[in-house]
Amino acid sequence: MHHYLLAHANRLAEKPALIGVRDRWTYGQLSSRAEKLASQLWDAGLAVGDRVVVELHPGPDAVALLCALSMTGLVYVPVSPALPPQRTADIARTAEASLFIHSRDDAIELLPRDLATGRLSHGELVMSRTAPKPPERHRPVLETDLAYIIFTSGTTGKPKGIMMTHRAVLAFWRGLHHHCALGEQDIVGTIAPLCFDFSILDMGCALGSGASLLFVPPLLPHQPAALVDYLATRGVTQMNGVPSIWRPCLREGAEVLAPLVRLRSMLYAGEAFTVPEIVRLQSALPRLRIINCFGQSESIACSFRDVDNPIEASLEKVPFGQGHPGVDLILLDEDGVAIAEPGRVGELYLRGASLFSGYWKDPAATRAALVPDPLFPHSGARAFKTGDLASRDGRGDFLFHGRVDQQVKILGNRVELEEIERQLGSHPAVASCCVAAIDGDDGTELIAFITVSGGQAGDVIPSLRDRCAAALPYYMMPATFRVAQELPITANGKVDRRRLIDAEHTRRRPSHQ
Amino acid sequence: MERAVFDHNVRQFITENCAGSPAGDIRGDENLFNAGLLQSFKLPKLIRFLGEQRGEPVDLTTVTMESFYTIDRMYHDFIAG
Repeated sequence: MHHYLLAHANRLAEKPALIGVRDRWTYGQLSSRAEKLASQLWDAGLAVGDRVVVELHPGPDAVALLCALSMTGLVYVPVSPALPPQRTADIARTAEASLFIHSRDDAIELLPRDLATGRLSHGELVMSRTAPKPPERHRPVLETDLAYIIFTSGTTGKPKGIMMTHRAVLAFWRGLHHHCALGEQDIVGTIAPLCFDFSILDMGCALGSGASLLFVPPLLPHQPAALVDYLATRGVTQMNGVPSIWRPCLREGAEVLAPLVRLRSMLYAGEAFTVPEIVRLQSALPRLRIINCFGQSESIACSFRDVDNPIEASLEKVPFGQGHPGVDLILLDEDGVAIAEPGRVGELYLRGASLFSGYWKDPAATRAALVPDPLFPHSGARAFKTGDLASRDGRGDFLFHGRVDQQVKILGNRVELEEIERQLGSHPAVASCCVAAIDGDDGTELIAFITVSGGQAGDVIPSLRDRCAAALPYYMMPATFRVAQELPITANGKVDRRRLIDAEHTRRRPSHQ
Repeated sequence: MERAVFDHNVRQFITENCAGSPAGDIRGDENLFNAGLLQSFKLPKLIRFLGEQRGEPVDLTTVTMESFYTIDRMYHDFIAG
């Protein structure tokens, strides 16, 4: 990965590569600081393939560290500093990490005693706890070695580690570059946390083109005028992010975007823009190129498509293209037969070099997701069974129709409802539960429906909140808990989530009138 | 702004805006998100409220989510500073 990110470092040594809130690094500084960190990592006794948990906010330091980890063949495991300490410690333990680079102290006491810990200070790694040095294990770093593991919400109740090799990341970046190559004068705004692979996209997008990467403060979208001023005064030419970062601007009135005269393109992913939202964006910034990026963390993303300008206002869905040059997207029906005709919905499968190599220490989940290539089943190659439902339009572009499972997106974050249900269900007073996502006035909300044993409803909700807060990221905390006598059941014997959602909408309706 | 006035106002805000939960007896160091008194999707309203208390928009360029976790932290990061 570092060869790609630093490809322009010699030629553009004096040009800004990374622009933080307080600091600005040239390509030359990025390269030298990454090399220095790599040297320190070697001195720490780490070996190719060892996992390093990185609990940092996005910024120049984090990019230098990622490059250093790549140089030394260490596996980058990013976690959010906002995670509950117990979840961070669980990820470190599950990843069998050798080093934990932290920005706060909350999780330290929960970590295994033999795990080395350190901080970044003024661009240097300062070890706060060292581990015994293993025997030297010299071996080359290969493209097929793991570059990173990103832990996302998992259906089993534990975070799921998506393993990506250097080769997979490079295949993705090449596909990205094919569609979104930038110039050296471009400035790309990034706002994704490191644990969201959108940050990997952003780094490759900017640095792979010799452009500059500007870190946008993560809460700034809540102040539309401040966000626009921040981007405009710094000359951002492309802003990448989930649609949620633009929604406060659209709510306030799209004209607030008018100062963004240098913004030429906007790349979005993680969730969908509606067609009316795009109409308003295009109305405010008529020459803006809007790029719809679609995909799953198991390949970072698989497709890019420029939104038609102007978009046809009668469209129901925004097409996401036909796959970048490094992948092949296939639609299969329930019998595993390829769907060729437009309009028919099937499950999306993905073939290509940008696929993940499996879920960390979860062979069953890996087998279920990485299946024999349906087009060439005897080739030994694997395809990714995405769980996404899609169809093709008349031009051959794909359209998203939802999921085959209970995965939802909250502010672009992937959430498996089953993981929340397992947390709730492990409480001794909970007899049954179901978590549903509904569209509320302020965005997608999670509602937990529970039945309790022993009639202790009043006492159980605070302890359920405590349980969720200790184990789940804040965006997975249900906003509302409903205690029911019983949960409705479908003909198949499963909890009828649809009826619960409908009942919740009915319950809320009077407040909308 | 005096701390006592802020405490009163922020508790009133939480009670009125966040699922109607009474917030009168919540401690200054209690995590409002963990207690279910605030949800992340209420953040925009809370940010506007803090700006009104301060008399000008709060500076969001250097803060993270942790600044909104407790009443103590909100007062320290947005009002007292």
